[in-house]
Amino acid sequence: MQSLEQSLAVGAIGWRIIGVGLDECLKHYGDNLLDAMGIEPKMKVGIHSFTFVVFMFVMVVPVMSVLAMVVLVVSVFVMVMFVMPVVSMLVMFAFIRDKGNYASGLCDRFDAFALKVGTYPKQHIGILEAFSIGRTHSIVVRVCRAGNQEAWRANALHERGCDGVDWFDACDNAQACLLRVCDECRECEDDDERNLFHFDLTFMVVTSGAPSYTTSCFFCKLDVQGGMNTAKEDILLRARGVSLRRGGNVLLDSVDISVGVGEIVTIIGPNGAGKTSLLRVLLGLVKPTEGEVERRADVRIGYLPQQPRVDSLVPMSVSRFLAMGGSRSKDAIVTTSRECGVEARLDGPLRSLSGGEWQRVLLARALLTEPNLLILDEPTSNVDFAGQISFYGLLSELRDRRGCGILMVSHDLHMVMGSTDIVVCLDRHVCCSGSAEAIARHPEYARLFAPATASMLAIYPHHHPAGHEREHT
Amino acid sequence: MGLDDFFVRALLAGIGIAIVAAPLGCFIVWRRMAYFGDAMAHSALIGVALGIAVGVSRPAGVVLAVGVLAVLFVVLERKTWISSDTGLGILAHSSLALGLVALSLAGGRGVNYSAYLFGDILAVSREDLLHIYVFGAVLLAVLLAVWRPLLSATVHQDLAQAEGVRVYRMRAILILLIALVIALAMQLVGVLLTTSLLIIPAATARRYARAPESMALLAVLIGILSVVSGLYASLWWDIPSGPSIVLAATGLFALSLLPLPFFPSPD
Repeated sequence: MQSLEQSLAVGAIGWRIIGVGLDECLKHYGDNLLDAMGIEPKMKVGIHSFTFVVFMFVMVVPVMSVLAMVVLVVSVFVMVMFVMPVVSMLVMFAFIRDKGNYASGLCDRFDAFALKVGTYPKQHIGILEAFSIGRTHSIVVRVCRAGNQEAWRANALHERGCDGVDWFDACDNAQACLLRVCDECRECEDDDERNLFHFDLTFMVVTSGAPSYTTSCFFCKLDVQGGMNTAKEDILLRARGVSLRRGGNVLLDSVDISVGVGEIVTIIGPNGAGKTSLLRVLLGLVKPTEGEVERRADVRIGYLPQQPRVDSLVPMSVSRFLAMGGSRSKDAIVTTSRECGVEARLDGPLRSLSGGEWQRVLLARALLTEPNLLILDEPTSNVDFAGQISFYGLLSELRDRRGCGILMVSHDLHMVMGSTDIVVCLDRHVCCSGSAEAIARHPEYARLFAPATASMLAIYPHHHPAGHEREHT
Repeated sequence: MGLDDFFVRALLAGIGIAIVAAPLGCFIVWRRMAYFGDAMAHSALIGVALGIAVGVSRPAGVVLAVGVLAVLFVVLERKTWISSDTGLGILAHSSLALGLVALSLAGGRGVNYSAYLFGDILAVSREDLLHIYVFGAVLLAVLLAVWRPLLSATVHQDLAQAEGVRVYRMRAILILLIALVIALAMQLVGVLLTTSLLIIPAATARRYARAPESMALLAVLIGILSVVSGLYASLWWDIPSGPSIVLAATGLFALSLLPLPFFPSPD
């Protein structure tokens, strides 16, 4: 019991120190002591200060240093036990992943292989992938941006066992080049074990957003006849190296994408792949953490947001809502809403619309701004199948009639594949991009959309009317 | 009966405030900002204390305090681990508490709290009346000037931004206007009831309006009606004037809930 009392007493003093303050406490107990010793009041102040300083040095400083030592030891322990293994595992993982993807036997099975030359995400060093579909063969080259190019080229060439290639210069500044070669032009020349590609080709560079250029090909020294439709003035919108991070989460990782005049570009990707985030960055609603978005000066964007229902409390008729996009004549509103199939709802209040009707009203509003670039976020998510077919028909018609570029996010893979010029497969970074047929056979695409789904997909090639022949189709 | 009569001054002041407050109240209703308006009104008390302590005029102090709160809120809104209504709740009540403390420190014991908490419309001076009408006219002019983009940003923020409306600037202008109208209105009904004068007429008008402009005009009429009937009721029954204005507005709102043969209930 005595020990309990003692500890209570000690606790009380401790409590008093905390509650009253050290200085006061010393004064209180010290005063009694000094009084008992019969010391003059004048001396007391000096003695108080002295004891206070001594107490600080004797008690507080050692306690603090012990605490600091403990913290140091614990943090070193945590570093050694937890952080270091994780870091080293990550490093090893990255290393293994890079090295593991090299395909060997470059030329012996050319009809389906992927070659990856080093993926170093932080350095914008590119991927080189080659795959072929039927009798046409494609190489997708993702080229690093200026600065890192030398390093990448050296590495890539080293891995491929050749040197002195100026072919990569052809792709300078390009984000993704799809090089098409016909079967006849492809030669797999096996000279001194180097497994060089040797294409006697006139290859076309069909890129989503690469500037047009003329240069000679390394393989054949012929002029590159490509990039015709992707001259700089034909690019409506282009993003370079766009990254977006939110509170430590990487939403987008150095994404390159562009939309040209009269081009239908579709972004596909699993949920959470950052599709909507990318659109918001391209629209300028969100500032990217890194990278830049360029828009042609005269671009007018018609935007169809992804939002199933109206949430506005503003009392407003549908026709008023349509007129808000810009000062439009009544005729234009009626015509466009008829085109989109919502004419009957024009005088109704906005909040009475169903999900599908709302989506069509949004499309009508986007069209009423007379856009030369339409950005659509899952435009058919609330539309039935027949509606989807007519919707994609409408899009192609719009492109043909007005020559406007269309960028959309869609989950209707079967429709996308049939009616899109370029498909961009997004999973935080651009996994692959190219024409719909090429993408459908791309290993990354198969990885994202499960092999079963990929094989079940029927592809409906979209036939462009005369005068809209595109180089990559 | 002239401007010398305190009751006439009160009526004119109330009508002036109603004309300015109702259209802004519509935006508060449309944007679901009622609680935000409340928080801003509560922080006005700090502005009053500031005015007494530093010697700046009261509206200036109020606008300053409300502006600071709005900035604080925008900062707090970015913290995603706390929901914005919780953040507002913290700001609203802590600013009210801070205002009360600051008021007692600044003004000593003689401060009449109820004049600030519940307003004193009957004490409106000619000078106050002039303030209300001059500032009110400026406010309305600004609101008219930004009406289209502000409405566009209210209906659909993303669409408006994609179409080139500077939605964040619009939001800042709206907050500033609300701060100004709070500075004007708090003398009538006090910091606790200011928001009600903004939102109740607008909410009543929502029932009958088919277009945003008609809702704003209707809200103005309803606001004037509430002020007039509330003031006469306070004169008749000898009840506090600010609360009776708010009760009159609430009564009109309750009436609007009744089904009417020619007005099918709104969408």
